[in-house]
Amino acid sequence: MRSDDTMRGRLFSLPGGAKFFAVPTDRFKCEYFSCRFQTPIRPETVQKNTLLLSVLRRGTAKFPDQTALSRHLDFLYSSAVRSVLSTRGDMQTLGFSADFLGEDYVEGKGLYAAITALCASFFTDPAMENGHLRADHTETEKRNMIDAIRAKINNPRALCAAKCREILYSGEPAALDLLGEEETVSSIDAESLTARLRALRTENMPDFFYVGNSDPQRIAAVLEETFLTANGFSGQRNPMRAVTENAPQKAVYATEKTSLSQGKLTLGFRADIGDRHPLSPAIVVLNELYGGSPASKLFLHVREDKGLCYQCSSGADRTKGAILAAAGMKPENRQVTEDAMLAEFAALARGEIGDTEWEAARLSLANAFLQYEDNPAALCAFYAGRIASDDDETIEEWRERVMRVTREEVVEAARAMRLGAVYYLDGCGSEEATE
Amino acid sequence: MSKIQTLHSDLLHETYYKISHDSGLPIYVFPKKLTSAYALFGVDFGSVDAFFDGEGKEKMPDGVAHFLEHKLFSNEDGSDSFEHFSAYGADANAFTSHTRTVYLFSATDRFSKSLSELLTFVTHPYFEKNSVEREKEIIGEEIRMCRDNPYDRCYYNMLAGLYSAHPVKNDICGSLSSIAKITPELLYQTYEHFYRLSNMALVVCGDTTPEEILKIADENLPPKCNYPRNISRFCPKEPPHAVKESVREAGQVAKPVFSIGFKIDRLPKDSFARSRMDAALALLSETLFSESGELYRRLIAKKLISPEFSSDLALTATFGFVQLAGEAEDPDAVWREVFAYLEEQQKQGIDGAEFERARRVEFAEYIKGFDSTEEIANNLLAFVFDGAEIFQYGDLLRGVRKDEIEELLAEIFRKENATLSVVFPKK
Repeated sequence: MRSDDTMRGRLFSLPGGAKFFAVPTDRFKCEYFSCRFQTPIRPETVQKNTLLLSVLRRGTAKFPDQTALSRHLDFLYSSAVRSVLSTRGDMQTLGFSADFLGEDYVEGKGLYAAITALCASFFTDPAMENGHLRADHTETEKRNMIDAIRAKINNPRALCAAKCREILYSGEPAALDLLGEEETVSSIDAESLTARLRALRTENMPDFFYVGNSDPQRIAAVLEETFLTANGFSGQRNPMRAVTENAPQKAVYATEKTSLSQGKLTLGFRADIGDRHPLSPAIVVLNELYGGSPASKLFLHVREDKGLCYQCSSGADRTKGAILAAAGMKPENRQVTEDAMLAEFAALARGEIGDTEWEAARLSLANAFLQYEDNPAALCAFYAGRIASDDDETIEEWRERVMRVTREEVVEAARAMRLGAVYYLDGCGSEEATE
Repeated sequence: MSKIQTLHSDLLHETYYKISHDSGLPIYVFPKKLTSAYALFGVDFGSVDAFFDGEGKEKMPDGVAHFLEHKLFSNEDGSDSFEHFSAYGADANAFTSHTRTVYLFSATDRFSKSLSELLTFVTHPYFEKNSVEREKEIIGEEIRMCRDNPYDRCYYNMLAGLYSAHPVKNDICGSLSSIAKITPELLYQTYEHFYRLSNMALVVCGDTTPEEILKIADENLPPKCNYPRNISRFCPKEPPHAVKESVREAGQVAKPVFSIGFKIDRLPKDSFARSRMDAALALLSETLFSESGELYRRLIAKKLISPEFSSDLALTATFGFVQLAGEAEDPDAVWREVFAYLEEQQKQGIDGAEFERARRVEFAEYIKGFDSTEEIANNLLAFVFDGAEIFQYGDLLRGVRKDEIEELLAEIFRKENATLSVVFPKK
């Protein structure tokens, strides 16, 4: 085992190429552990991977159903184990994360060994019958996944953003939805899901993250014993992939009728700027100025000055060089809101950035990056992204790079952005419903 | 001379300080060596405080507390306090709940400047007519947004099923017609009535000291308390049981969303007794409704609910309820299964091992609550406004007996106290 003291924590290289990043600290009463790997988003596997993660979380050979598993976690002082399912660029991230009480607050030895063993057993020793994942678990989770697909309308803001992304990334893996279509989910069975699990173990190698007061060397040894066994992971760490040179030539507009009382609008902008591009940090500052905080143009002008919306903000996807801006408004105000949001973006592209808003954006970002130190999950998510990209940049170095961004670079990034997608969920606007 | 009192927990290895400031404002400082510091300036005034007088004659329009919270960020010089916080790199926000209004910020740098701003803008109201009118548009959109949230609708319909006249059943934001009645004069009247420093509390958690906070308070607050301390409040009389067995509404949902509410009629006036009852109800809810429990196992095994199923508890001096929430094709079948299980438990009594499992879980969750400045500050303020002490809660969890929770099970979890709220898909 080799260890390098880098970043704020320590990076270990485990057998098979797995990486283990540990932040030794006594500032928290809880400890945090996460295991995750990234695999390319492919139409034939993306939904199976999502379903598989849910089925694995239902039980292991030792704790074969949800009640047994929940009781075991309660016994481990209410430890929480959650699925990690997300996208980054054109990759799907899969894994588990856990937080649990530290050694000072439990009887006997620390809980990390039990927690890492449990997370490993989801992959290496799941609940099986007749050589396959349990059919009842598979069928139940298929039903839950179909429910989740149908329930997207329950969260119209998220639905509108997802539809906008589908258009903005059209033809690229990232356009595929992690839940996908009901028909595809229905066709999956326990046998094919078991084959997917075996393939994932032989095609991938996870990275591990730990924040807490236990000795990282001891944890590294436990990880070797649990995850990297004969039935464990034996593949390769997948390199990061993201299509980035695909800025839209023209905007695609789409509208969907709903019975909501409010309309929901999402604008998708994109530039040929990936996360290795020199202007990548400028996208983060651009987003902060546009709609990232209460000092942003969208908040101050579209919400406060014009009173068009309550919610009006934006977020950046640095891996795809994109910014998505969203608002909810009276249906009759849809066009005036869209025009106002576009006008604020155009102002940024013209370099209309006041000293106050410039300084506020920089300070807000500096504050946000420093707050990562208090949030083990956020800290690990940052380093998971960096390690997955084989990038050894620390959070301090990233913060400094963002702080060095100039106004000229922000304007250049804004000018490189093209409006690629406008998605609108049209509401009925009934005032009666709000009385 | 402001007095400083020290409170310490051996269990948690934590200490905090209560400063009785000369201005009348109680200040709580919880030193914690984390990178970000968090400050809350809270007012013991929420949506349930719906009257100006103690007899229930002077009713305010619904949504005033929330409206006032929005408008207090506007300053007389035309600036907005959000911009001031941004200039210091702080992340500011505010929220209104049923029982309180809270202004807050978190910061990793220039903490004293942000704290001065917080103390200044909350104590200097400025309500201008045009800006109040414009805010009605913004809050109108917030009301529409909440209206489109099926979980919000289900929650408020549950409250309408439990309560006849108590203002807890009204939407915290109010309605389009109620906020239309709000004027600058009404906002000033409300502010004068409730925003008295003795009815407020400042809570700070971060790498700081009581002396540092006291110095900033001295610089920004009046040197002495110069207003009456008592605030008249009115709470309408409520029947002891739920007022409706069910409330149903169509909404844009894929599958019915449900809430089962249980009204708590016996609300201890004494804050210590209420805190003990809160601990007992938390243990009872964990015993009965957690994912490790028998009820959840049965509901899942019979395919009656989706996996997300939660229980929540609210217990205050004037209202209290337990809420079960989830999604189900047939919420009436869930209701029947829940009551079959509750009646079974009432007959046979709570299993001792289950009770100890629940105690282990709740105790661990209590300790976990002391890992973030945000969580500590919010929890501490909630305890302060409820007249309770946060470090005592751990002892209360350890002290609750099984027979206590069995009494609560028999008293509260009965059909006459319950209502079923459902938001079902529009055809």
